[in-house]
Amino acid sequence: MTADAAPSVSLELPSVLRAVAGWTRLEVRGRTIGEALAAAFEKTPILRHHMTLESGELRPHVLCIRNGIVVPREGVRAQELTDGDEILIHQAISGG
Amino acid sequence: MADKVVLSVGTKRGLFLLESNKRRQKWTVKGPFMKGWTIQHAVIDTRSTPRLHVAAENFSFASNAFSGGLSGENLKPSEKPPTAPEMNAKAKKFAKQYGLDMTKRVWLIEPGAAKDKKVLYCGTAPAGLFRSEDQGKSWEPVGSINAHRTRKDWSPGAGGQSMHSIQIDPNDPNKIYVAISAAGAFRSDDGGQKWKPINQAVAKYVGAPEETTVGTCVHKMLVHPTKPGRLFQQNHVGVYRTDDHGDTWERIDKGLPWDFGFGLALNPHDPDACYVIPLEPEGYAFRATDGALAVYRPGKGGRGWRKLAKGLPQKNAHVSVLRQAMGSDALKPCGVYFGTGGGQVFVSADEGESWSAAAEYLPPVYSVSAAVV
Repeated sequence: MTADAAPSVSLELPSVLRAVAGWTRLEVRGRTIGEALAAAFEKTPILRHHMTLESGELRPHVLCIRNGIVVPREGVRAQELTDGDEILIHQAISGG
Repeated sequence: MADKVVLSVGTKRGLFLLESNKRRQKWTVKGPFMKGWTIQHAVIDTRSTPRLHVAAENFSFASNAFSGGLSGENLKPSEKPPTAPEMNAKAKKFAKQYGLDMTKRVWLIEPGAAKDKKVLYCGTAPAGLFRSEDQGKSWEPVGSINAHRTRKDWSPGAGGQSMHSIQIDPNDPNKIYVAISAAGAFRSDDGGQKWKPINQAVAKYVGAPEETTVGTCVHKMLVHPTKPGRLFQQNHVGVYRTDDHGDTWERIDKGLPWDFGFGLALNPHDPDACYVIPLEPEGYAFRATDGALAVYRPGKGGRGWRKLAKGLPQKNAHVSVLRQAMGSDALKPCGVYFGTGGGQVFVSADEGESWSAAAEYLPPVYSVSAAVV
C-alpha cells in the first residue's frame, strides 16, 4: 500500500497546542495512529517534543481519543485507522 | 524613542503585559497570552527591536522557550528546545527522599551581551545552561558548566535543581555568572569556556558536603549594571554582596527580619541599593513577615536596612514573592516591581519609597521583568 492510499483521517489538537503548532486541525494520511502522528510531526516538527518522550511514546498525560473513544496507552501507536476517522489529542487531567 | 515601560508578568496561568508611560502611575493590563501555559519567566530583550522571550510549560505538553513581538500574540516555540540534563543518581535520591520537584523545565531566559544582539542564554531544571545564537529559534547546551566537575555535588532545592540566575557582566562581556539552587554561584572569565565556583564565605545549606566548593543555595543573584565587580545575592541563608566579581562575599543581612527570601532587584543609579523582601520560612512554604508586606534596601552608604512599605498592605498579607518575581527599570528615579503569589503586581516609581498595585487578582505571579521600550 502506498502512503497516498493510507486512510485519510483528521487530527485535532487541544487549543493549548495552538501556541506550539499554529493550527489545531489537520487532515493527514496514516494506516495507524503512529503514522498519522508522524505525518503531523513532519508538518510541524516541534510537536514531537511537546507530545512525545524521547522513546517516541506519548507523554504520560497525553490522551488519544479515536472517534470519541479513549485509546488505551498500550499499543496506541499501532492502532489501525480507517478512512474518515477523527483523532482527538487531549490533556489527561484528573482530579475533582 | 523609548517612552513606554512594559512589565512582562509570568503567572501560573498565562502571560500578562502591564504598560505605562515613564511616569509609571497608571498601568494597563493586557493578557492573558499563552493561555493554558505556566510562565516561569518572561523577559523583553531591548537590544534591538524589542522582543519577548518566554519560558513556558504545560503539565501535559512539556516546557519550551517561546519568542515573538511585544504584542504578546503568536509567540513561536523554539524549534530546537533547551532540553534539561538529567540529575545524577545522588541528586535524584535526595529529591525523592524529600519530595522535591524533578520536573524538567526552562527556568529563565536572559539576553546575551549588548554587542551580540542575537545571542540569548537560558537556564533549566535540572540545572543546565543553554545558548542560542538565533534569538531563541534553537538552543545548544553549554557543556563547560553543564558537565562541571562539581556537578556530583549539585543538589535539588524545593523548586527543583534550577539554574535561575544568568548574568552577563556589562563591564566585561567575557565574564558570565550563573547560580544554581542548590549548588551555588559560578563565574566564567572567558565567555563560558571555563567556570569557577564563587561561593567563598557563603553559608552552606544544612547537609552540604563540607569539602565541596559548592553546597550553597543561592535564590537569586544579580550583577550591578554600573559598578564594576559588584554583585548581590539573596541566598536561602542570608543576603550577600561582593565587590570583586564574587571572589569574596560579605554577608549583609543583619537588621532584616529574616535572612530568607527570594526576590532581588538593583538600582542602576545607586550601587548600594539592593531591594529584598524577607520572607518567613515555614518548611517548604513562606510568607511575608507577620502578614506585613515590605521591601527593604540598605541605608545610606550601604549600612543597615530601611523598610519600604508605604502603600503596601501591612496586615493579613500572607503572600510570597518568588525569585523571578522582582525587577527594576533603568529610568531615573528607578522603578522597582514585584509580584506575589496572590496575584498582585506592586510598582514603585520612586526607588521603593512608595508603592501601589498595578494589577490585582492575576494568577499566582512567577516572574516580573521591566523594560523601557
